[in-house]
Amino acid sequence: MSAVLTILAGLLVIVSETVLLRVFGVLVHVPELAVALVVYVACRRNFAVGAACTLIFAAVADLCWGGPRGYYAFGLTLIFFLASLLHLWGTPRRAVSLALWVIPATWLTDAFALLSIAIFRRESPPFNALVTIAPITALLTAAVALPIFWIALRVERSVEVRRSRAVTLSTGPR
Amino acid sequence: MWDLFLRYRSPFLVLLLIIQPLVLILGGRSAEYPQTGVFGDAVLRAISDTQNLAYQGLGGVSQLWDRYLRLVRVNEENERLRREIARLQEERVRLLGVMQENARLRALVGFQVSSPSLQLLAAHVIAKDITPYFRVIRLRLDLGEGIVRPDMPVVAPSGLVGQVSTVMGDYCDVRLTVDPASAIDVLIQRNRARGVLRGNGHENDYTARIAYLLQRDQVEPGDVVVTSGMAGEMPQELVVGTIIEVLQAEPGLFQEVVVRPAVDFSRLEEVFVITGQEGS
Repeated sequence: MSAVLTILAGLLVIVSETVLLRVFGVLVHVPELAVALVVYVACRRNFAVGAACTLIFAAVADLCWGGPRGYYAFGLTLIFFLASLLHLWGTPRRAVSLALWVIPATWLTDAFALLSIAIFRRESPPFNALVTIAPITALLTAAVALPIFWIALRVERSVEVRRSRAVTLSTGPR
Repeated sequence: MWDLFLRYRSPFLVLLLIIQPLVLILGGRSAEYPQTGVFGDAVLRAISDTQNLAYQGLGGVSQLWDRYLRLVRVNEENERLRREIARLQEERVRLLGVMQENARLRALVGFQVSSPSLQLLAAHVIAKDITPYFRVIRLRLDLGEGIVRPDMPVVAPSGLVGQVSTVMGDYCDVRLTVDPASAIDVLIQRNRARGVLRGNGHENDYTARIAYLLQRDQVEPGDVVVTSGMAGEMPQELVVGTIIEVLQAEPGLFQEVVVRPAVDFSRLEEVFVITGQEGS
């Protein structure tokens, strides 16, 4: 999948989430799909493409998260760097493994965002939410991300198969 | 130049990734209200337009879902009856939607008639925030570009919704009364006891609490909370919610109470922004 297509699909996911939450009247437990997208690009794309995608996803998600500007983008950026480091140990090949990575990543994003609010704004953000709400949000994000990862990996594989066929046809045996 | 970028693209992107949140954070800290800048404003408007389009497209999804659920319950052995029931149910859902919309619009008109001194601007709720820590909704202003300013109150027929926090063209973000950053001067309607309503955003529900309520003021669950009209552009006597719990505080000057908002935020569709009052 090309970088542009990845960015467009990611933006569609982020914007759709805000509208679907509104349409179905979901208030408290909301999945943070931006985190799932950042984990996906960090694990499944090369570093430059992943960084470019994260730059755009973080900016857009930050405009949609409702809190003061910059802190959610900060959390997502740190998650990208962490996931890129973990990616060096191995690339998750299944949607389930990617979704499992999303659970700690979601919790850490919230923790980084709240911590940075405490540092930069000198406010006391709701840290107790990291115990009460964040674990449920993390599990919910992973559950919602699972089918999205499954579809994305299927698309990736079909693109790879098509590309390898094209290469075989052009350079195949004579 | 392009070759240089391609050669050093990874370090360049890492630098951009680090700088972006810091610029946003420092930009937000220096302004009284969050400013997005020309580029940010353009991006925000593009996102809001997309959200608006998606919202209009998805408007019928819940109705379709209801229809599907009804259809699967119908007995498969009776095809003729099933088709008939499906047709009637579809019509019923459509009529129910029309009736509900009618009721909502009647309530809005009723609110407008009962509050002749308020200058009201109608708006549609198109999206909500994407985290559980903040309580913000996004509105599409039908005719209000340039009129709406931060801190203007937003109301529904059942009561106060919140205050405008950010304006971008004909869209605006509203900080709900239950957001932790919200602070509204309120009165207990029964005994005129005064306090400051703050959101319990970190709790696992949509409630608020009243701080700085004197211990000597007798309050009890069921008391109605209204705006005092003492601060900013907030009119007085707007219903905010009902007290559901009086917290047993330690001996001191103030007590705290928990308030359930009068507005059901999960069902908000149309709201009013109060752009002014006669005589103010």
